[in-house]
Amino acid sequence: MSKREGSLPPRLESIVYTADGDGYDWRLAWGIVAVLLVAIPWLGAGTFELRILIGVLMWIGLAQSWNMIGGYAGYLDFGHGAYFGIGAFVTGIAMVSLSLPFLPALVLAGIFGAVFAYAIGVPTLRLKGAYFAIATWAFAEAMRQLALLLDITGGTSGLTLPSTMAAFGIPLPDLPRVIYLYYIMLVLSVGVVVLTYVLFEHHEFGYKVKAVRDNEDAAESLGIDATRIKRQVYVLSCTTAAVLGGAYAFYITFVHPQEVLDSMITAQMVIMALVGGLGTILGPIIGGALIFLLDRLSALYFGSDTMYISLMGLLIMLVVLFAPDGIVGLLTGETDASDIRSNLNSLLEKFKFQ
Amino acid sequence: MAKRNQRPAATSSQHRRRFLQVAGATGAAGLTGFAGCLGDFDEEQDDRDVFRFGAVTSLSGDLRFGGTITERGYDLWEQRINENGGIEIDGTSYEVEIEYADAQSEPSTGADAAEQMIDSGIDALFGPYSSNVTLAVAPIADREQIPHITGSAESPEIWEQQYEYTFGTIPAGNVIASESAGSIFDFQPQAESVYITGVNDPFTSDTAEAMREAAVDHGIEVLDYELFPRDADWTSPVSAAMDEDPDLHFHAAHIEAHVDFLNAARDLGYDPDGFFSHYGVDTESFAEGLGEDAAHIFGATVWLPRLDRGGDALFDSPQAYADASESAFDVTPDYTQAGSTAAGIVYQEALQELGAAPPLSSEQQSELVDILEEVEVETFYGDINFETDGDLYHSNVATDILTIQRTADGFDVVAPDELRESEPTYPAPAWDER
Amino acid sequence: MDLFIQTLINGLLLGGIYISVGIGFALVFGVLEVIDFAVGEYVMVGAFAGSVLAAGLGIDALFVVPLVFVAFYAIGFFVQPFLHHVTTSNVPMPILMALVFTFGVAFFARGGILTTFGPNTREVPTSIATGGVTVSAIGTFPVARVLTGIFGIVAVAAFLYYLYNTKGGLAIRAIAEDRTDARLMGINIARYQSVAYGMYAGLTATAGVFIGIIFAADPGMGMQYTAFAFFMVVLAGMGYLPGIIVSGLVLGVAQAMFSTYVSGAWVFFVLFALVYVVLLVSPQGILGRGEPVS
Repeated sequence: MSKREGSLPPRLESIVYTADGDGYDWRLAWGIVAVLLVAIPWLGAGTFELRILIGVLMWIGLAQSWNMIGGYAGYLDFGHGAYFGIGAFVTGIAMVSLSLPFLPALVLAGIFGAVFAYAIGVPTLRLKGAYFAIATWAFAEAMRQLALLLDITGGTSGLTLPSTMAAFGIPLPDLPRVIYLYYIMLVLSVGVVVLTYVLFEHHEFGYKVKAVRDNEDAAESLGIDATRIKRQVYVLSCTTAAVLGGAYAFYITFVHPQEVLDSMITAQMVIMALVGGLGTILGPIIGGALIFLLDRLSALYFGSDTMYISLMGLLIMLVVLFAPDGIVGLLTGETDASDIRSNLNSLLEKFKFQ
Repeated sequence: MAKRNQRPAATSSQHRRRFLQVAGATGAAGLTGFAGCLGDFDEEQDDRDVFRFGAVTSLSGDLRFGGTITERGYDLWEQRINENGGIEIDGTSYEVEIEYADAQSEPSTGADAAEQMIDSGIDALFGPYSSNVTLAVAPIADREQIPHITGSAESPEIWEQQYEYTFGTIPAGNVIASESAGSIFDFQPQAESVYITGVNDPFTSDTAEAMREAAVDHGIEVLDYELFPRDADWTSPVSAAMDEDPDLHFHAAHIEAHVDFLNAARDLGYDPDGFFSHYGVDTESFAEGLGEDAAHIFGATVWLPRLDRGGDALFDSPQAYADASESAFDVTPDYTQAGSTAAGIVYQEALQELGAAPPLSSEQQSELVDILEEVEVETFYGDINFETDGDLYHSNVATDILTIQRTADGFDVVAPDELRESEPTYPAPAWDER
Repeated sequence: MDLFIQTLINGLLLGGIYISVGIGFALVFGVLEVIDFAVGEYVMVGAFAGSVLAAGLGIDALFVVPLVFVAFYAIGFFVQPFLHHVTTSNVPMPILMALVFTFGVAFFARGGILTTFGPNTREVPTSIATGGVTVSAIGTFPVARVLTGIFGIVAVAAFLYYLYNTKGGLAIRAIAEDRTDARLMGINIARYQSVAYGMYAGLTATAGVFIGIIFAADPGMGMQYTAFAFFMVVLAGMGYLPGIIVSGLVLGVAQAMFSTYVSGAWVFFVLFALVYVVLLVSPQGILGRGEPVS
């Protein structure tokens, strides 16, 4: 780690610098991105543009949240979307039934998500691979069915939340609601990304997680408590998903089990993390933004032709076949033309049936 | 990724280059690309000689049936009115233009779609199919003060919320279900008992509840009332119902679940005196899904091609509308499609009354809503007049509700008396005697 | 007629439908170690193929079954090399990659059918497999469901026969055991994996024709069968093929009994919760014969 610029406190330094010690360019560029993100509501972005950006930010956060357990820890959590839905419902119930303002409701969603994730994680994390994947998926589907049946979740009617900023929790100046929602999502999403970056890329914790992922026995022999590490990652990733779900509920103001607990939410997180680049910090950012924009904008602009669904499928297949390191791999040059060629050759190999 | 644990020994310049690639590409994929593709919509806002409408419909996802029906309805209005030269304001005719977006059967996509269209400067909105998506779009129409007429959302929840800018041409599903159910209870020999099943989705559970209330009001014994998840297997519910031997069976579901349910009833030989489902019995999808077995099923509708109703500026009669639909899409229209087209005609009347050339300013849009509140239009679809308060706020209450029964190659109106085309075949023959 | 016996019949026949979908899925899972998310879409596309072929040729849908099987065998045969490439590529989690690939296949199929045929349900026409046969004092047996159940069980038997009594089956089992050893034994991995996946695709699409006859063909029907296929292998014990029959019947009967005697609305919640609990308590399936959790 670089110690060239002693003026920064060490904690901040570890965020700013890359592990190679060549962090200067990154800091500058990230600074520009950050300023742009903060300034964008004042640079002429309309309600629609902000809504799309809210979607982009939320999905970056969700993809990153899945990346913690799926990418860094190597556990295929196919029920991750359940926590998004749980967060949305806890926030909704707190605001509707308990008449709490948004902020305490969101905190409640986070706490509830964490406790729930711990209770589910302890037994479920004993399973591995496909067993873990299917168990979490069954759990998530059970949650969706449950939400359709309970009264407190509004059953088949869902919940309608207060839609004014008066319900926020702190008095605010009179600005369009979408601007506040944009900043809420920005804070949460950037928070998840920074948290992931610090914990998984620049902290002892991250090295332990990767050690457990790559070889659990070896990690244990080094004195790492693998069970504990896995539970921590699971709870952390599920809690972030729950918090994002809570923000989504306040944003869309209508929460329904068939939507917030849809299995497609998990699927989308997985695809985003994977297409972007699994187990990397940039992957889910790029994958989340790209896939969300492709899907949403094609639905909005080419909506009269359902062909785009097939094209999404084709894109996923192509990435898996030829660029399994994801888009990050392509951008960083880890996957280049020769890799694609060798992937193609190796694919053609597989057609030799004689 | 395979190498992700080995740190590449990159030099400073490599690093910078790599970074610039990443940042550049992310930016291109994200912000700029996206801003670029939005830019051109804002430009045409100022000076145009067409009325622009946005239509949010579900073209994929669970609600795609209804979504495409809705789309056809709006489309046909657009085609026909433009063939006629458009909407005439102060001696000049303005064509209309409808843009579509796929709500993917999801509220959040629908809401984004509505917001995008409003942002791009449309004059008014056509509503999505289904209550879920409508409940996400209606608050946006209110906030942005954009007139919003839906030609297909039937859930009573929408009207209970009393959205100021949202209107609907189709009566609420619970009203249709309960009136139609009532007429079936009057068939001779009078039924004494009914068994009610349904799907626990928002719209269908409201319908099931309305059926139950109608039964209770008519003094009919409800032997059982139970909701099932989507995609349930219907053989067990059918066997349980058979065991109770009711006079009538009511089923509240969307088309797929009707088809599944009736197939199970046929295969198990479940023969109550009549099956009734409020939604979809008049559609081609229902007929195609069941083939010959569709015959004798009771359903409800608010419109038919052969009804003796007046016409309007675009379509002389219900039949003329059906012919136009046949030639445009090769499809016999159902009431959802007709209601969607009628939504266009309502706009047309209201815009003529407003007398403002496109594009509409936001004051003009609010004025348009005031006009819509008062509007009384005669159309091929029937009279349209929106309720102005109570639980059916802004829902069309002027239409007749018809009970139909499928025949070998179509269906007949069997109630109310004054519109009856044939006596109901009641009790319906058993499956193996058809 | 006794409601209990009829519910039992309904459950067993529902189990037959599950078996017909689950057997191919269990095979690719056990032999190729591929979790195929597209399984339900093969059912869906198969149902559409049955509908289009039967209507186009003007014959009963039951007679197009061989055609559909051959066509989808061929499709599957040429899909497998792609999966083979993914599962053997040098990535950290090849199994996950393969799963995501099949996700892409599922999207592709769903979008393609939706675009080609529109959103409507289509009847899969048959005049043979219609109605029910009532056996007095026992109950009613819907013909289409009985045929589906027979198809499912015959498919399981034929599969097991193929696996344990033929050269090809030996090769496939050797591959399932250890790919490298199989290669050293001179087995053409690519071919036999393609044979296995082709059989899976063919059988699953054929099951789709039967399911289309029972219900109808519909572009959105796939997801639920993917879910059921997952249930099936979990309860059967992953990699244990004969378990499919038991798990199908248990699943079908449990669902029917619960729906009739406890609550229709809660039935799916209970099924999903059951799968979750079985995985926690006995990950090797209800028979305890599945592959051990490694």
